[in-house]
Amino acid sequence: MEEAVRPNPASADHRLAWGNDAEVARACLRGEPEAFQELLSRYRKPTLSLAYQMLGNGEDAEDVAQEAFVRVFQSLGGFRGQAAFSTWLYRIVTNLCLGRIRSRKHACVPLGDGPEPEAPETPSRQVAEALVTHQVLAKMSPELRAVLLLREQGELSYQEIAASLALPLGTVRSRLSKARACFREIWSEFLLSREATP
Amino acid sequence: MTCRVHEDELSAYLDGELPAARRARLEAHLRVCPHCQGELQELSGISAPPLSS
Repeated sequence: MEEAVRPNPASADHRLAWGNDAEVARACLRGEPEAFQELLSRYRKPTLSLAYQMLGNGEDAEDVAQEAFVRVFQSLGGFRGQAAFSTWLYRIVTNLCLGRIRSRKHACVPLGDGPEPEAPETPSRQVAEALVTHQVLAKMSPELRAVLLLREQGELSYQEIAASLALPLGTVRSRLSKARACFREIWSEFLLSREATP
Repeated sequence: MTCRVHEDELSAYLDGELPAARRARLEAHLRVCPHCQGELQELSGISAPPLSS
């Protein structure tokens, strides 16, 4: 994706000039090519991050992010603006990831078999935690991982998660409780095994 | 009602996503169930920095 054509997306003035996500989406629909670049610059990073945590593999995450933005572009006309743009996008990303995980199962490739993320020799505490988080998430089932990421990273409400994954609200509640308990358990095991390793 | 049912609702309770009637029922259970109190405490410690970043 071309970075060069964008004005500096980090500047507050730039963001103000475009307005909120719904306004940028409307500009896209009017056929302003810069508007789509603007959506990309706002959401490429969180999209990649969500896909990476879901899939455990950078290459697949890139593919899914690419595909998600193509879908966004194709179906922007169907975006009613009732939900936040981010909710709509994360729903597309999560479902693409779950679809990819399902097709992996058919191909008998277990999740997390991709290359391990490379750790710098002396990772900062933050980086080390992120690596452990990534490994813990990879050990969870895709269903539990999806609800946890939509809640914690996507900051979706339970209602939005239910709509995104086509689940009853009660299932979202119980799945999130299970997901958090599961995360905690694997996280503790992981830390214990690290302490046991000299 | 078993602890299992209540455990399923602990996350929603912590996130403020439980309807009032269910919340009241869960709180009544929490007052008398040390197991679920412990689960709640464990869960509330999970807003771990790595996941909330």
